[in-house]
Amino acid sequence: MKFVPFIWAALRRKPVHAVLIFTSALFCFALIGVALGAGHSLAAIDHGGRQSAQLNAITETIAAIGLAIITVLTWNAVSHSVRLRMPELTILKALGYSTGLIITLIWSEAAAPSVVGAAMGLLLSRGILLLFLHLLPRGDMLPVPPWPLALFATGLPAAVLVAGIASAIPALRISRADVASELARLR
Amino acid sequence: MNTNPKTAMRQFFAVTALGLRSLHTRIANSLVVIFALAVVMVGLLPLLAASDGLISSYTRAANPSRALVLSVGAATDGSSTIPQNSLKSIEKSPGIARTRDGLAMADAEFFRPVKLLNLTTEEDGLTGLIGMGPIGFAMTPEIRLLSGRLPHAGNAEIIAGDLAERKFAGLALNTQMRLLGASWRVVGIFHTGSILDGDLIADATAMKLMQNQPDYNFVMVKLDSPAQFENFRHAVTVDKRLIALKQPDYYLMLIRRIPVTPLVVAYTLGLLLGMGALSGTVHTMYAAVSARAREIAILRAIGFDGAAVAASVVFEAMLLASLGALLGTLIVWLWVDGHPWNGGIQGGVFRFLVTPHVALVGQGWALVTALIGALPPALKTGRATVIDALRDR
Repeated sequence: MKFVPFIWAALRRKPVHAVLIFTSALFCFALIGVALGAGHSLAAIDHGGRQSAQLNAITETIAAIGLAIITVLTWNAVSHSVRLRMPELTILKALGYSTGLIITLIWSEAAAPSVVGAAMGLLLSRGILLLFLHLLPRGDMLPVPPWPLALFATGLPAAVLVAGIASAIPALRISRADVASELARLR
Repeated sequence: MNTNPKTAMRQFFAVTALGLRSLHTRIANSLVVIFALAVVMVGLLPLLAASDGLISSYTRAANPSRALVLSVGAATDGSSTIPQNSLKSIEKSPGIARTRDGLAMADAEFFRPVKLLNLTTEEDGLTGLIGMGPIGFAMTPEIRLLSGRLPHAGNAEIIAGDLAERKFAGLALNTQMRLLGASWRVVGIFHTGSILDGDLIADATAMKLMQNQPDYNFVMVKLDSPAQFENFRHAVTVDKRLIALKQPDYYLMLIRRIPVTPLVVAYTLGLLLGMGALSGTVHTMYAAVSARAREIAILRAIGFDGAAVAASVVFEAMLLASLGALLGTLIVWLWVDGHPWNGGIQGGVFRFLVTPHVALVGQGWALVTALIGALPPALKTGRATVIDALRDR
């Protein structure tokens, strides 16, 4: 099966869900990048004191909030997409596509915009942080956070994982769908 | 729009009622909007609550019948120095209230920053030790003793604000502690409801003796009436080294020095979270329109105006967003309201306050997010022809 063309065709047919997953990932991962980068800059001037521990706790909480939001929003988009496309997915099942393959397709359609959005969001967070340091009073005294390579290394897999978690419940729906009943609804 | 306004309003209410009655069929999508906006509030409001709490603690300490005399160029009372030889002329200035014995209600005071162990962070926190005389205590009736007594004149005794006692180590009643190189005993705990609750107060004479310090930091006076301030100010500023400020103006000066950094961070986080919530709102309202496609098609076919239907979509989004903002504000109120924080221009302790202003900012933020998020599906519904609506079904 031609995986990528299938996903591309699905995204083109109903782009609204992909656009919404992309924009959610863009802003949520921008938030995560800003929070962790700002925490890094502020902790650097504390030289590992107790304030650093508090700052880390705050920035990690904000990052967790960002991940929670993107998971919920992606789940919402995937659920709606699966609900609308149940007939199409049922036909694929009737043609012999395994449940696992269909679930993988659904997950890929969520993961693709999620990863692209996450990557752009992390880049955007870098821009926002530099703007902060420029605009804030005495911001030039704060150290510039390093390029978030480690953040990319964890953020992009996190985006894939978020898509997986968000697709889990809709995927269950597909796996439990009865082909005959779904096809009967098409009449 | 071909319908007259009255009919359009009736149509709007009818469509909205229909939409709200079927809300339970779209509960999952609706909960997404409520959750997303609640999370936006949790990200945005705590820092606003901190800002409002600090401002409120300063404004509650301000009394228009009181004035401060500082040295020229002093940014705060702690950085001011009043020469010894100026005190007599200040006390003789017009406009100052007098005690029954004819004494001027003018109190020369000290302010010294002191470091105490912050019980939360286990690091040094900063607060103020104020040296106040008997006239100063008489001028500050809001100092209400919760336990113990006031310091005796000349004794190395302090009273601690209730917030300071909660926040810092070593301020329990009858505790002996070292401050500014001398040993002090805590003889009382007080409450004022203002920024003073984070400070310590000692007898001014005792502080002068302990520090061998001839010059006071500032003079606080009680005026006959707020209207007497200009007379008082003219007399005091004859000495070019001095300035006089009404106490509310002094605290306004401190409020203006509060850094904007936390507010910038709060609004940036709120914006980024809000953009995430926005995409969720757009999707939810598209899903709502899609779920109600048959209903909308029939309504359009029987003559309902597209604008009324569009407006009901926006209203539903704003209602859900408002519920989310209320939930988020409640969570923030339960979480941070009243929480003491070591901060402020000269250190000290103030409480986070979830004020009506904070709640209104949250509601406004949510409603704007919902309005922007609901516009695309609302416009699609409003502009579609009846045939398009029936086809979408």
